[in-house]
Amino acid sequence: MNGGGGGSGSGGGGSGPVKTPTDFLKLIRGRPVVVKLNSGVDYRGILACLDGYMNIAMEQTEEYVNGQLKNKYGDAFIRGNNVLYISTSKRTLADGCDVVEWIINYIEIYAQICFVFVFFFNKGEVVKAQFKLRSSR
Amino acid sequence: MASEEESTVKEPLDLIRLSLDERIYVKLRSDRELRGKLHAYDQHLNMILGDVEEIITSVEIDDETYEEIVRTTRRTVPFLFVRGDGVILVSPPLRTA
Repeated sequence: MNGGGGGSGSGGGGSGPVKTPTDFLKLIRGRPVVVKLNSGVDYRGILACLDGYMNIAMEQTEEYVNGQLKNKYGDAFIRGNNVLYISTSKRTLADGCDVVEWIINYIEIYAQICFVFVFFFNKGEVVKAQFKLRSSR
Repeated sequence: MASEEESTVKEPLDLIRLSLDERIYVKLRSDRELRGKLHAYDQHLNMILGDVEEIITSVEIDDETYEEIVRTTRRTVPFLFVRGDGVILVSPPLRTA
């Protein structure tokens, strides 16, 4: 069994120092990642799980060849020997997420003035948003 | 988005176990793809597939025009043993949504 090449990736999230590659692997489950293969093909998706051989299971995977989106897979299993690296990324669910963040920031300003924005969360994700007029005192 | 966190799934190989007896898509080295029914697999990703369609993609560059010609070759095999070291990716079949 080959010991995973050294160097822990971005330990993101600030949940303590990442000491070994194994710690990194435990940390990144559930996060959007970029997986680059030896062949140069890129896969971006949400990491479901992985093991010590760097076999990877991902969800909502997109395949990029030469920077171009080629395929989308609902679930994907990648054999570890093909993996060059696994890296965390901010993205995956699209620029939609950045847009949402922008909107939220923008709305916060208005909310303080005249209305209240109510976000409904489910499992840490916003599933619904509605606004109510701030009730007058 | 249903991120299925089943307590029994700990390893990526467990996720393949869920696909047993289902049709799957396999990406192989040398620009080959397979679609077939997964009958068996092991930790090396050796697999037994049934009713398999193999697609081989080749790109030729014309010497004069330098244009890329993409060709695909298909064949069907009723029963196939796949050696694991050639496997790149395994997935449920691509859905044209």
